[in-house]
Amino acid sequence: MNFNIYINGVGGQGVGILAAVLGESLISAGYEIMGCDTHGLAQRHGSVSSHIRAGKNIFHPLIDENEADFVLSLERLEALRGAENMLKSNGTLIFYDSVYQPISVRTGEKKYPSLQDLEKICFIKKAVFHKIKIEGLKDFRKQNTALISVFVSLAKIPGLTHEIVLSQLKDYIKYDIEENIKIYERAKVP
Amino acid sequence: MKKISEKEEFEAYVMGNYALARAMAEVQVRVITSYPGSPTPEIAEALSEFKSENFYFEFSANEKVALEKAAGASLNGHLSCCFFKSVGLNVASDSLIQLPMMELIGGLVVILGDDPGANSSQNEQDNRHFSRMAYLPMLEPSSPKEAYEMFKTACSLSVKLRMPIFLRITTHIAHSREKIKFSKLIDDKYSWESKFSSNNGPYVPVASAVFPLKERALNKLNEFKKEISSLEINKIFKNGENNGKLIIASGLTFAAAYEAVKSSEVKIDILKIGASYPLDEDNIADIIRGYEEVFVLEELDRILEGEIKSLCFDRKINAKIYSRKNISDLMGEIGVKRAKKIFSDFWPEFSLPKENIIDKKGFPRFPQLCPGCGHRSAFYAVKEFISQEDITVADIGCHTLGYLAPYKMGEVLFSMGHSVSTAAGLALKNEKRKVLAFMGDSTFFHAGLPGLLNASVLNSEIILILLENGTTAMTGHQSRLGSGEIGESLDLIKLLEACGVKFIRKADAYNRTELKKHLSEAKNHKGFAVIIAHHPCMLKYSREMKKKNPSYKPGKVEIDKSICDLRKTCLEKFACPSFALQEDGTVKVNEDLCIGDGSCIMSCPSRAIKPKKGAK
Repeated sequence: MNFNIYINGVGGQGVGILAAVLGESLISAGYEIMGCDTHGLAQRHGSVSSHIRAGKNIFHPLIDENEADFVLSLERLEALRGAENMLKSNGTLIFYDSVYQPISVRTGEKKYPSLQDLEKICFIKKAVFHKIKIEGLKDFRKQNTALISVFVSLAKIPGLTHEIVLSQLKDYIKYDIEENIKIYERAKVP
Repeated sequence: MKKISEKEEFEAYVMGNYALARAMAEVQVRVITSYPGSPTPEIAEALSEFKSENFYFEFSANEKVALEKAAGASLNGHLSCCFFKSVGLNVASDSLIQLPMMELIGGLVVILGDDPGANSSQNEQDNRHFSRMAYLPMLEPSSPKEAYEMFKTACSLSVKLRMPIFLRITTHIAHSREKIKFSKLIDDKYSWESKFSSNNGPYVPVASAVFPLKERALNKLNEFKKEISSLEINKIFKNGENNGKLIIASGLTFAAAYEAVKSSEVKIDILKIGASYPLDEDNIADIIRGYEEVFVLEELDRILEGEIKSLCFDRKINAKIYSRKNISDLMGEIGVKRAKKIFSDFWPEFSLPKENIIDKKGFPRFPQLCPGCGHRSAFYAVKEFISQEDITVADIGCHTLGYLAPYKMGEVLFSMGHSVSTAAGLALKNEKRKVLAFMGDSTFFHAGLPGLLNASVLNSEIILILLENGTTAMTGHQSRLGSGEIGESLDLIKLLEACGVKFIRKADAYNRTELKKHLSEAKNHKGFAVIIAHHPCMLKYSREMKKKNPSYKPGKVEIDKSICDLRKTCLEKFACPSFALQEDGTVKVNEDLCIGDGSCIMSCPSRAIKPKKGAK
């Protein structure tokens, strides 16, 4: 089984950690993978993405346009761009609905996308649309924990269990491990 | 999760840069130097996990200093390595070009982090050219695992031939991850004996003394060719039946080509060139002889293509040799789909199905200065001060982002440290338009000093604004020379005085009133003026606070809605990312981002921004 996972968000949201945890978990589940982090110039607030490619005969670490089986996003505008540029027909978009306005939105030059924009692109691509928003989640740096929990629940990748991911999460996350586990459990989709 | 410094054999899912650091420890590189630059700084991050008594590491003032220091150590018999980003080689090149003529008895491997696609660089220069100019062999891995293995090969060849060797990686080898099996580390006591002897030389290439040294360098290239022909660095991948077609590629482009072939289910063989300079011509020619059509797939410039054509011409090999047709194919990275598209110009079996064109509503998110960044405050003050016709010159670092809206500060950018001299040139015989240059402090020590001396001694009519945040922020907060974190700390003002600068002022970047006062004094000053706008990097500060105390919570500001009259200066002109526009047209503070630094408070003409009570 070959599949590509494209993860994106805004610098500082924890895209890198999410990708590392997911990558390690897939390896634990027995997959051969290649991953790649891509980040541009700034430390923060620019677009950040990570690519994970799993399966046989994979040699290049980057996912091509319109070739992601899963797009996992931590922010709405990133989710829209991820879905438009990277998502495969019949793929799955899972995103945490946080909002970080780029400067063009703050100055009124551009209109920040609506949820309908996202639903529309998923409709065009015949893709699954799944929005996450956890009420009362105070620390935005834990949104990635919620996202990975929903991904594992919905994607149903053979062998990729919550137990595997939780044990990797405990390895990677430095602060508030218990709080992260609580959020993980809360975000699970039955 | 095992640490990269694990003593025993182990397997781990790691990024190319980490694999390189591991390789350095396994082959016991003794001296490692660098200047931070994407895509390579994570090598240093990984090295920091290893026991430091076994090797010496430093971030030097710039790439030239780093290379010279590594070369000096090699002259003493210590296996050395120097790594930096693509454009860093331009800075290092003055000494680099000499090194192949020297007997580097300890060996020296130079890791180049090239950046096809200009992901984080001011160009996408193809450093394979430097190999040819300097007679310096180059190995090019096509994956993180191969980078780990090839680094070791490069070290053993370098020691054996006593010559420097390039290991050229590209951004998405440095930053890609795969599972790699590592060997165990050998723990030993190294003697650090100084083995330098001019008998190993001569080491002074002056006038006609150059020729024997050059001849030796050229001979070494031939020896290198012999060495690689016995190794499996260049390798043919057969796909069952020979249909007369062959692809030649190297580095990550090989990975793209290989996957393009595998996923298109075509039976085309591929020759991977691991040693891209000098080419193992005889063996490559023998391989090509078995094919009728050869496609040379390269990323960036047309280098291998010319050399392959030339070796075929000399040997009367009649294979048709194809390459990229369009100018657009000479730019950017080549992934799997792009490789197929390029192949399909000649080989229709690679044709891709047509994709539906969709109407896209997404737009890019440009990087921004962080909340609390002193550069933003400085730009805000300068923007209020300067007039429309004044010229602003940018340099490299976080502050380069000032060129974007709304500040639009820094209209010209060449290279590290250029701003002061470029500004001085713009100011020549130009009395009408004031010229301002910006420079960060790490860049200042990297390559800004000679330009500063020139401007100072010749009294150029410019204002240099030194944006001092005490670190190399953009690449991940590596210590900058003179900050006091490594070695002695340097007093910037004393240094400027010693360089003969007559007009020096310093203000906290948050202090708009003082900065503007200094700016107007500087404008009236006849000659070169320097203003230091200092404020520590707040991202670094916040991270350090969090590290010291995991429950650290930064303060916040809030907008007093009873005072705010919606002029939106905070949002549109000061433009800290923490301000968000609400659907009802009001402004709100995004508390996920705000660090309560308060630098925005002065920007509000109605004084509606206030520190939030009880936020801490």
